[in-house]
Amino acid sequence: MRVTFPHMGRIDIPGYTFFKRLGWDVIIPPPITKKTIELGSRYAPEFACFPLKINLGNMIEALELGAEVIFMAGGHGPCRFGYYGEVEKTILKDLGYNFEFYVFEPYAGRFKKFFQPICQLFKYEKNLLKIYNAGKIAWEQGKAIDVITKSVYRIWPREEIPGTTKRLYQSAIAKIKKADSVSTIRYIVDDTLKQLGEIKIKKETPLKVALVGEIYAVLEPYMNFNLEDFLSDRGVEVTRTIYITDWAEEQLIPKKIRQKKKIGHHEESKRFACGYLDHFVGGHGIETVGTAVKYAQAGYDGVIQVLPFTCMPEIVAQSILPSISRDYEIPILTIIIDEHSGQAGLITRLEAFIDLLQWKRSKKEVC
Amino acid sequence: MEPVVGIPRALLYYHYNWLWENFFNFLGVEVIVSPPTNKQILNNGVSFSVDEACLPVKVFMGHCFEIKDKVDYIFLPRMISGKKREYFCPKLMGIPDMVKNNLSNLPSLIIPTIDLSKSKRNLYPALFEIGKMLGKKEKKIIDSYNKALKIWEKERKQKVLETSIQPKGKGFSQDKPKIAVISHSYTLYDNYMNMDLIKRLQTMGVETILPEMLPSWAIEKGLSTFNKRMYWSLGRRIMGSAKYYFNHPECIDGIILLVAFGCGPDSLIGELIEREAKRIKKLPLLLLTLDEHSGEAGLITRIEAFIDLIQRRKKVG
Repeated sequence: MRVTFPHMGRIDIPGYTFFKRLGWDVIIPPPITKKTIELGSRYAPEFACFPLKINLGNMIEALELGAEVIFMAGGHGPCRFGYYGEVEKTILKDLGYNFEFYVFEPYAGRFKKFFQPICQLFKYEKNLLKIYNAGKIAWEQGKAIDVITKSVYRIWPREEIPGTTKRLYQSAIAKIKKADSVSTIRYIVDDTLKQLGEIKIKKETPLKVALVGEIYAVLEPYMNFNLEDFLSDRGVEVTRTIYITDWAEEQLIPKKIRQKKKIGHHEESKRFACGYLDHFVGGHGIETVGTAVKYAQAGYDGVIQVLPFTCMPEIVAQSILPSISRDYEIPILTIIIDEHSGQAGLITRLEAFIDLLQWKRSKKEVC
Repeated sequence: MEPVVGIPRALLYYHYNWLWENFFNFLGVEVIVSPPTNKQILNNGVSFSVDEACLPVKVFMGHCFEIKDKVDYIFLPRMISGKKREYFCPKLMGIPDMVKNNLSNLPSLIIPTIDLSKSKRNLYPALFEIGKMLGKKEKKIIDSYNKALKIWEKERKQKVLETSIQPKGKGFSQDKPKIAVISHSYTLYDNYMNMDLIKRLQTMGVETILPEMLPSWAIEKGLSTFNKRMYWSLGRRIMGSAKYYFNHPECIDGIILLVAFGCGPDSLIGELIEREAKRIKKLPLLLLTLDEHSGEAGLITRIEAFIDLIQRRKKVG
C-alpha cells in the first residue's frame, strides 16, 4: 500500500525512512508550492488556521499521485489541531477520494481508537527488532538535522564568504537523507560540525533575534517565507526556539523517564511566562510568551513571533507580548501569515525591523 | 463597607449568570454587572484588543473597561475545563491575562482557576481563593456556592423543553415554521452583537428553538453518532444538537447556525455541520457570521430569504 503524510519542516526525511523500513511504499507529497496552498484554501473552511489548509493541499496532491493511506498526528484539545484529522477526512471524502485515514492520538479513554492506527502502522513488519531499528534511524535523522540546523544558523550570519554555510548545510541534509545506519548519521553530524567550525567568521557580533511562535509556522520554511535564511543572509543571528525532536521528546517520553536535571521546554517556558501568562492555553501559547521573556532577559536585540491567521493560543500570546516589549524594552515583531500573505510585504517589514534593531544598538553603544 | 465585585456581561456570564451572581450575593458581597452591550462598549473592546481576537473576546474587553472604575474587584475566572477531558477554548483560558496586559488602572482582579479536567475536587481551592480575597470563611463559601448552584441548576432545568424535539410538540404552533437557532450562549443572548436575531425571527412568524431547550440526553445522543470525541465543552452543545436534528430531521424545518467572526472551534465545527447538511439534504441550514462591521440590512435580507425558502418547502411538503 502507498502511504503518505503531510509536510512539516524537514519531517519528510525521517518520515520516509521510517515508513520505508516498515515495508510501506512511501509517497512524499510534492514540496509545498502556490498550487498546494491554492488547493488547500479552496476546499478548507475559510477561517480554519493556515496549517490545516497546507495539510489539506499536501494530502490532495499526494492522493493525486496515488497514495492510498494517510497517517497524521492528532490531539485532544484545546487547540484546533486535534480536529484537523476529522475535518480533513470529511473534506477529502466529499471530494470523492478513496483512501484510509489514520490519526495517532494520545490515549484518552478509548482503547480501540488508540491502538487501531498503531496496528495499521505495523501491518507489514512484525519483527520487533526491525521496528525498533526503523524508529531508531528515523529518530537519529531527525535529531541530526536539528543539531546541524542549530549550529548552521549561528555560523551563517557571521560567515566571511557569503554562501559557504548554506552550501555545507544543503550537502549535509542530502547526506543524512541517504544515510542508512546510526553510525553513518553520527559521523555525518560530527563531520559537518567540524567543517562548520572551520568556516572563517567575522569579528563583530551580529544582531540577535529569537524566533518564537506557533510550531508549524516556525518549522515550515515555505510558510514563513524562509525567514531564517533571509535574516541570516543579512547578518542577523536567528535563534529558533522550537525543534521538532525536542518537542517530540517532551510529548512522547514521560516526565519520570526523562533526565531529571533537564527541564523541558514547556516547564521552562512556564517559569519564564509567570506573571504574564499564568496558565497553559493550548498549542504553543505559553512557550511563545515564556521564550520571549527568556531571550529578552538574555539580552537579545529583538523577538519575532510568527503565527498562522486565527491561531487561538498565539492570539492570546500576541496580546501579551506588548507588555513584555515594554517591560524589557525589546522590539517584538508579530507576523501573521495566511494564504494571502506576500513575500514582498514581509521583506519590507523585516528590513525595517532590522534597521530598528541596528539603530537601537548603535544608540546603546554611544551612551 | 462590603466590597463591590464587578462581573462583565459577556462570554460565560451568559451561561453561568445566576450561579455567579447568587454566589456573591450569598457571600454578602455587592455585585455589579456591566450593562448590556452597546456601541460604546463594542468600540472600546475593539480598540483594546488585538485585531485577530474573536468578536466575543473584543466585547468582553469592552465590558471590563466599562466597569473597571466602578468596582473594587473584577471577577475574571480562568475557565479551563468544566468536565473530565473537556476544555473551553484557548482564548477563554487566556482571557484574564489578555485583560491584565491590555487594560491599565485595573482594580484588584479575582482570578480563580476552574480546571475540573482531572478531578471535580479542584473546584474547592478555586472557591477558597475567591473567599480569601474577599475575607470570607470557608464554610460560608461552600454554603453559598451550594445554594447558588441549586438555584442555577433548577433554572437551567426549567429552560429544557422536551417538546422541542418532538415532530409536533406541544407549545409550538403547527403552521409556523420551526427553526432551531444553534450558537454559543454569548452570541445568542447578546442582543447588540446579534442584532436582536431571536426577536426578529419571532416577529417574522417563526417558532425558534434555543439550544437550552434541548435535553442533555438528546445532545449526548447526537454526539454519540459522531466519530471524533468533541473536546470543547461549548462545542458539544452545538455539534450535539446539530447532529441530533440531522438524525431526526422531522422535528424542525430548518437550522440557523450563528457564529462569531474569528471563533476558532466554530470554524471547524461549522464546516463539519455545513458539510453534513449538504450531504443529507433534508434540513436547510443558514450560516450567519457576525463581526463588528455586520450591517443590519444584510442580516435581515438573508433571514427573510431563508424563511421564504422554508415556507415554500413546507407548502410543497
